[in-house]
Order: sequence, then structure tokens, then C-alpha cells
Amino acid sequence: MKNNQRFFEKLVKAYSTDLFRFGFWLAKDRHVAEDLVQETFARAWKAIDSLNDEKAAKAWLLTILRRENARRFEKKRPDFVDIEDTIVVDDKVNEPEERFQKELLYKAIMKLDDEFKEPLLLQLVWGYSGEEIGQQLDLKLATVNTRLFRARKQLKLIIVRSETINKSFGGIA
Amino acid sequence: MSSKNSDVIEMDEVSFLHKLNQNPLSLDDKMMDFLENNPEKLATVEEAKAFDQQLIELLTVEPPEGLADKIIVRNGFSTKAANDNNWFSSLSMVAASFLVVVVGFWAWQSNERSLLPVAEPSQYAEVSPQMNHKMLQHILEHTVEEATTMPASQLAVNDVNLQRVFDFVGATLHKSIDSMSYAGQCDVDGKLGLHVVIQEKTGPVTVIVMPGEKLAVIESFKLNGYVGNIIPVRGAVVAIIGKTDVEVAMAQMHFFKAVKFS
Repeated sequence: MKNNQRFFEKLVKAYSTDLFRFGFWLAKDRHVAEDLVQETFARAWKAIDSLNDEKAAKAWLLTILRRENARRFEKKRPDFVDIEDTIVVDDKVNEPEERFQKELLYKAIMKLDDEFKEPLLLQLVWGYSGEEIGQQLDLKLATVNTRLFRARKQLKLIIVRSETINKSFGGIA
Repeated sequence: MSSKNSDVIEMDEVSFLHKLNQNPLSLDDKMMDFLENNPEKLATVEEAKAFDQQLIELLTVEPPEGLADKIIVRNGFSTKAANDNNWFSSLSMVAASFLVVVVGFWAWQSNERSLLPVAEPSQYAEVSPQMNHKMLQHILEHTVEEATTMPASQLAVNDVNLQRVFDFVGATLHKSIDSMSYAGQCDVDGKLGLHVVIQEKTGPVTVIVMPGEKLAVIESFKLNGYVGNIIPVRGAVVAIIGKTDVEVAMAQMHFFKAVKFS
């Protein structure tokens, strides 16, 4: 029992932040992301006896979170809040030009389809290799690599288009 | 472009850029060879790396404060406690029964003594140094502020939320606590505990369970017109506070008859 609790706490401390980030970019909402993480760990605790290997548990947690996220759409599509207003615009560190760049990129990530966003998140947030991404998403390595390539291409394309539109209107905001 | 090894198929610019956009932060040997032969592409690599760095910065959003702690509190102590260590649960039942007898006898003895004039201590005079005084102060504040405001209504033992607050401190509520009018989580000196109010005939008695606290033996105290016992149990301490020794003893009996610590 104590070992289970310790292992559970270890999992929570190790993965709750990255799971939240993954959930946030999929759900596009902080509250929904938090609910997803809570639900994921609630399920993990119920199945803690069968989760002995940390590496397997990590993949399992991610699978549960993705499944929980998919289930949301079976029930009701939530109303998304305009988070760029709360996250990007609230940036006091960067200069307006940099802030604008960040905002563009932020919006571009938001617009990216999940099939491209997920491999990118796994690579950049979770530090997964191409093979690990393939295992997690049940994709061939070649497909993973293509999606990673296309994800970056699409992001750059969205930014270039936005910049072009913005320049034609002569401002940054 | 020249090749260092004629057996190896040369990487062309298209495949280089394709691979670069798959993972700019990790270049393999073929890509390094290509770069060595095409140094003008270094700028493209740096640009791609900077773009990924920007991406990473944006993707690493901060989670809500205390997320991990919230998850542990909500899930970590629930559902499993009742299933494990059954032998210890049985043992703790016996221990609790024994405790009730001992405490009952102690309460009777104290009552006898209380007929004699006793000087009321002003500050923790009868509290053992083992007990955390700051925590005790908080517990007493809870008692003073909240006990009288709790309505006297029986709580359903099968209530999921009720079971949950007991689970949180590693306890199992296996039957209703006689005269319990309130059970909920409370914050004592920054730590979450279980707060129970038992309405005895002469007045409310507060029971606070603090998980993770340790005490070698049962402690009793008198403070600011209140009396109480602090009892070590498995993985926690239980503080029982009321106005008289008798009502504390009765509440203690009611509490340990219904609650097991595993």
C-alpha cells in the first residue's frame, strides 16, 4: 500500500506538468486540461497495482489522457476561451514585435491539426524519439517523420501568411 | 558536393531539409556530413533550431499552482485503504476497543480529580513537548470558532463524499459515528486534515485527524477552558477536544467505534 502510494506520488510529480501541457494544447483550455490530468491520475490510481514499470506507466498515462480528451468530443464540444488574450498578450517581457511573433506562433499551434500537433508535442514537450512517438501513436516511423516535417512546415506557412496579411494592413496588432 | 565515403549514398539538399524539419535539434551523421560539405546551410540549421526553441518556449505552459499536490490529495489516499492490510485493520479494531476502555477509565479518574480545586494553566501547561504547539493552537481555534456552528444532523455513512474525507487521512468509516454532525477537510497550519464534530449531550466535541503526524503516546491537555486528548494512530494523530473530560471520552468512544485506521 505504502509502496503504491509512493509510486503514485512519484508518477504525479514526474508527469503531471507534462500531461497538463499536452492536455492544454489538445483541449486549448486550461481548465479542461486540468480536468483531463485529474481524470487521468484518478484512473491511474485505480489501476496502480498493475502499473509497476515507470516507463510503461508514462506511456499509459499519456494514452489515458488522449482517450479522455477524445471522449470529450463524444459528449459535448466545449466552448473554447480566447486564451491568446490571457497568455500571449499578457507577456510583459518581450518587445511588441517579439510579442507579435509569439502570438502568431501561438495561434499557428492552436490551428494545427491534432495529427500533426501530437507528434510535435511528444517530441518537444515529452522528449520522445521518432520510434517512441510511433509506439505511442501507433504509427510507422516514416509516418511520424512525415508528420513532424509537415507540422513545422505548416506552422511556418501559417506565420508567413499571417505576417503577409498583417503587413498589407500596415500594423502589428 | 563531395563524399567522404563513396559507399555511402550522398544526402541531397531536399532530403537534408526534410530531415532537418523532422528534428532540428538532433542531426545524424549523414546530416553532419552534408553540413561539412555545404557550410552555407549552417544558417538554415541555426534558423530551424531557433524556431524549435521558440516552439518549446511556447509549448511549455505553466500548470496551475499546486496541481501535483491536488492530484495526490484527491486520489492518493482513496479507495485502497480499505482493501489492504486487513490483518492490521482487525488489530487496530482491538486496539481501539482497548483504548476506549483505557480512556473511559482515565476520564472517570479525571472526573474524580476535577472535584478538587485545580489551577487552570494559561499556556499549554499540561501539553507534552512532543505535541506541536502551533498545530495545537490551530486545532483549538477550529474548535472554538466552528464547533458550535455545526448543525446537529446525522450524516449518512454511505455518502461518497463523506467516505472520501475519511479516506484522505487513511481512515475507513465502517459505520455511522453516533451524533456526528459534521465531517470535512480542514487546513491546520498549512496541512490538510479531517475535521469531525460530534454532538454529545452536553455539547459539541471536535475531532481533528492530522495525517503524517507522529506521537509516541497518548497526550492529554487542558487549555483555555477546553480539555482534550491527542492519540497516535497508524499514520496520523487524532485530537479530540471538548469542554469536559466526560464528553471527550464519550466522543472518543463514538469515534473509534466507527473509524478504523489502516
